[in-house]
Amino acid sequence: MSKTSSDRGPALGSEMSPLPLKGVRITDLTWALASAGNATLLASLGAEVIRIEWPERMDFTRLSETAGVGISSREAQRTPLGPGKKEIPYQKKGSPVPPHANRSGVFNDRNPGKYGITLNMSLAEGREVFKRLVRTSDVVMDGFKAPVMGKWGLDYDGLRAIKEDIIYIQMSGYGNTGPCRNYGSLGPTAQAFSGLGYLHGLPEPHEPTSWSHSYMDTTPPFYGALAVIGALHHRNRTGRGQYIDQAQYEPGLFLNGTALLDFSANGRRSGRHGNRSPYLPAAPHGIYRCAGDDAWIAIAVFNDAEWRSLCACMENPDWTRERRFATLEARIANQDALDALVEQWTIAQDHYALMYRLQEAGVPAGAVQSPEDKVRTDPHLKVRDFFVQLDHSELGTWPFTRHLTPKLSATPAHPGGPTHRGAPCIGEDNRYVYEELLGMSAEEIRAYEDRGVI
Amino acid sequence: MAGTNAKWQAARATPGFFDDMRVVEVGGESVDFCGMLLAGEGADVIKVEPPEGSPSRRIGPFYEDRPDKDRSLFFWTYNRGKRGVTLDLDAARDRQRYLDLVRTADVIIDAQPAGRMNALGLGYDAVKQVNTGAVYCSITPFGLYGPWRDFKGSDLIHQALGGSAYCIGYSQQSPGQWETPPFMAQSWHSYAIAAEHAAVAIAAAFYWRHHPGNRTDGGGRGQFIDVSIHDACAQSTEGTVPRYIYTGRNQVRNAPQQIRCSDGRFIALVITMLRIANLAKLRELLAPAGLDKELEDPRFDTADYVKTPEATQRIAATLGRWAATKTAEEAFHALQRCNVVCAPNRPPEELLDDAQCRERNNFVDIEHPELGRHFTYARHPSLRSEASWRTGPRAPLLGEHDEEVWRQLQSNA
Repeated sequence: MSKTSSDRGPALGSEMSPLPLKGVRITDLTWALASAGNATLLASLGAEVIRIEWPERMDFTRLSETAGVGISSREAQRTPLGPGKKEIPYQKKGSPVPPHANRSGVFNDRNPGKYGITLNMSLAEGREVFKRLVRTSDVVMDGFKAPVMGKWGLDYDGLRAIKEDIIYIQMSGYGNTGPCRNYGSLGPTAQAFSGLGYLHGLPEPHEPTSWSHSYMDTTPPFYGALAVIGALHHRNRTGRGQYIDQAQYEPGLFLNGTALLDFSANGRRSGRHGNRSPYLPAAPHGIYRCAGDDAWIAIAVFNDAEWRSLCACMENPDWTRERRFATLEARIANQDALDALVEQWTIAQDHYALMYRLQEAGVPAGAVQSPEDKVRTDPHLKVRDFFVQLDHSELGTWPFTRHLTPKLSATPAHPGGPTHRGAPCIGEDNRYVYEELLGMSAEEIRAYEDRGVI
Repeated sequence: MAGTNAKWQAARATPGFFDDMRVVEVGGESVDFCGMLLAGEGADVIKVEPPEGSPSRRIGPFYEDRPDKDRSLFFWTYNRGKRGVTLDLDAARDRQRYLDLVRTADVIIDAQPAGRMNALGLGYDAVKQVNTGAVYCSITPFGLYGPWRDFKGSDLIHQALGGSAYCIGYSQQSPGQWETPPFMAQSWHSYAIAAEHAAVAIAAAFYWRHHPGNRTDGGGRGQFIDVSIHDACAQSTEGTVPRYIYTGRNQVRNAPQQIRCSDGRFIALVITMLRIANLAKLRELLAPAGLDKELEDPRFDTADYVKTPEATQRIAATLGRWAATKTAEEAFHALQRCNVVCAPNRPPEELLDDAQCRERNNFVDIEHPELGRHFTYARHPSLRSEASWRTGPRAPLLGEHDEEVWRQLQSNA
C-alpha cells in the first residue's frame, strides 16, 4: 500500500482549537474512578465540570497509596514543583484532612480539567447551595450508592423540580432498582459480577484470573459519556431533560463477547481458553517467555503465509516441517507441543528486538508492555502525544494520559479541558464558582464558610 | 422509585438519542462494536460489506457449530440494530454507489487497512467533496501515523502492547518469577475499547456539528477522527500508568483476591475498603461458625492495621473458611450486608437467572425469523427516562438490505 501524506488524515487541531462541548456545565458529585472518569472525559471535550467535595468525606483516591510518594520520585527528575496553594479551605479550618490530600497522583491523573469546590452536602444549607448550582447546570452526575440522592430529595424528580430540563446521570454500583441497589461496588467486583473476570486465565480447575487492575473503572465512563452527549443532543432538539441510571456492572454485559449467545443459541457454557484463539483459527497464538525478568512476547499466526514467515525467522528448524504442524488445522490440534517449541526459541531473545523482527517479516507480534514501558519507551505513544504535560497547583507539571485517545481534526480533546490544569486541589475554585458563577458576595461566602457549609 | 421505573417502561418505544444520525461503516472486526454502540443509541447504521461478506462473519462460534456467513455468533453479537448492504469496492459502479451512500451519511466509520479507502478514491478527501458535514472516523490497529503504523495487530497483540496482559495472570511464585504467562482478557476487548473511544469522539463531533450555539469557532462542520486501537488499549489499564508516573512502581501481576464457595464459584473481595466499624458486623456473621475469634485480635481495632496486606490476608483467609459452606449467592448477600465490597465471579450465562439483572431487565430476546427462533442478548448499558437503547433487530443477513437501501437512495435523489 502506498503511503501518501493524506493517508495520515487531515492536519490535526492544536491546543488553540475549540473544544466540542464548550458551554456545557456539569455539576459533578462523582467518586473514585468509575463515575469520576465520566466527568473527566466530558471535561476533556470542553464541558465545564464542577467537582464537589467535602474534606470530612474525602474521595479515597485522594488518600491512595501514591499520595505524597510521587513528590520524591519527581524530585529525582530535578525539575521544580509548582508554587503550591496556600489558601485552601481545609487547611484554614484545621480539619483532619492530611496535607497530602492534594498530592495523590492517581487522583490528579483521573480528574484533570475540572474545577473543584468544597460543599457540605450533608447539611440542608449545603443542599440549598447545591440547588443554586443545579439551576446553572446542564448535567448533574453522581457516583453515590443509589439511595443517597433520593434521601436528600435530589433524585431525578427532585432535580427536575429545580431545573426542568436537567440531565441527571446516576452512576451507582448496581443501579437504582433491584435487590442490590444499596450494595457497594468497585472495579474488581464489577468485573466479577458482570461475568467478565470469569473468562480469563486457564481452564478449570484453575481459578479465573480477571484483571489485577480495575478495568471496570476505566470502561463505564465511556458508556456514561456517550449517553450524556446523546442526552444533550436530545435535549437541544426536544427541550426535554433525561434521567440516566447506569449501573457499574451493566456496560460489562456488552463486553463478554459471544458467551451469552453461545449459551442461548447453542446451550454451551463458558470456559477459559488461556491465550488461545478459540473462535478465530490461529496457531501459534500465545504469550511466550523471553530473555530477562518478566519479559514476554505475544505471537498470533492466522494463516500459512504468516506461519512460513515465522518459520523463516526461526531459520526453519526441522520440527517446523513435521506433519503435525503442516496445516493450520494440524497446528491447532497440536498447540501444546507447538507452544513449547516456539517458547524454546523465544526464551533466549529480547522481546522488543524479536517483535520488530517478526513484524518486519509480516508476523503479528507484540511485546507485553508494562506501565513503565508505556511511559518510558513506547515510541508510538510518544509520537502520538499519548502523554500531555499539565500543571497542578501543588504538584507542579506532570505527564497526563489522554483519557480520550482519538485524534479529532477540528475539535481535539485535551485532558486540560477548560481549566488547562491537572486535578483541582480541594476547594481550589471556591472563589470562581461561588463568586463569579453564583454571584455570592464576599460576606455571604464567609458566612457559609463559618457555618461549615462551604 | 417504582414510579420512575414505570416511566422507563413507557419510554421503551421512544426513539434513541441519535435517531437523526446515519452511519455508514466499512471494515472488518474492528468496526463492528463501534457501529453497534451508535445503533444502540438510535442511529441508522448501514454496514457495507464485500460481496463475500465481512471478515467478521468468519469468526466463531457458529450457530449449531456450523460455520456459515449468516451463522456467526460474533457477527450476530456486534451487528444487531444495523442494516447491511454489499458493495464490491474494486468495481467502479459500486464505488459510485458507495459515494452516493456516504453523501447521505452523518458519520462514516472506516476500519479498512490504513490507506485502502484513499487508494480506492473513497477516503476522507473524496467523501468531503460530496459531504462537507461528514464526521469521518478511521479505526486502525495503530492509527494513521507513528513508527508502528504498519504493524499487524490482533486482539492478543493489542492486549500485549496496550499493557492489559501485563496485569492479568496468576500470582508470582517468588518475587519476579511467574510460572504462567500473562494472559489476554478473552472476548475481544481491544476492539471494544477502541470502539468506546471512537463512539464518544464521534458523538462529540456530531454534537459540535449540530449545536454550534453562539460560538464563532467553526461549529457546524464535519471533521476527521483518527482512532488507534493501540492508543485506546494503552489507556485502558486504570491507575497503573499514573501509579508508575508518580511512584516509579510497576503494577504487580496478581490473581484477584477471591474466596471459593461451596458451589465452586468464587467471590471477588475488596477488603482494603473495609472499615473498623464493619468488622463488628462481620464478627457477628462469623460467630455461628465459631470463626469470629479469628478477628478478635485487638490490632484489628486500629485503622492503620486493617489496611495492611497482613490484615487483609487474615480477613480473606477467615472469610474463605466461612464461605466454604455457603453458596456464592448466599455469601455475596451476607457479606454485602456487612459492608464488605464483594461480588460473585460467575460465567456470563449465569447472569440470566440473577435477581438484580432480572429486576433491571438486563436481557432481551431478539427474533431470528429465518430460523424461527429468538436468542438472548444484553439489553442496555444503562436505563434512560426518555430515550431507550435500541436492542434490535438481529444482525443483517449478507446483503439483506441491498434493495431497500438503494431504493431509498434513488427515491431521495
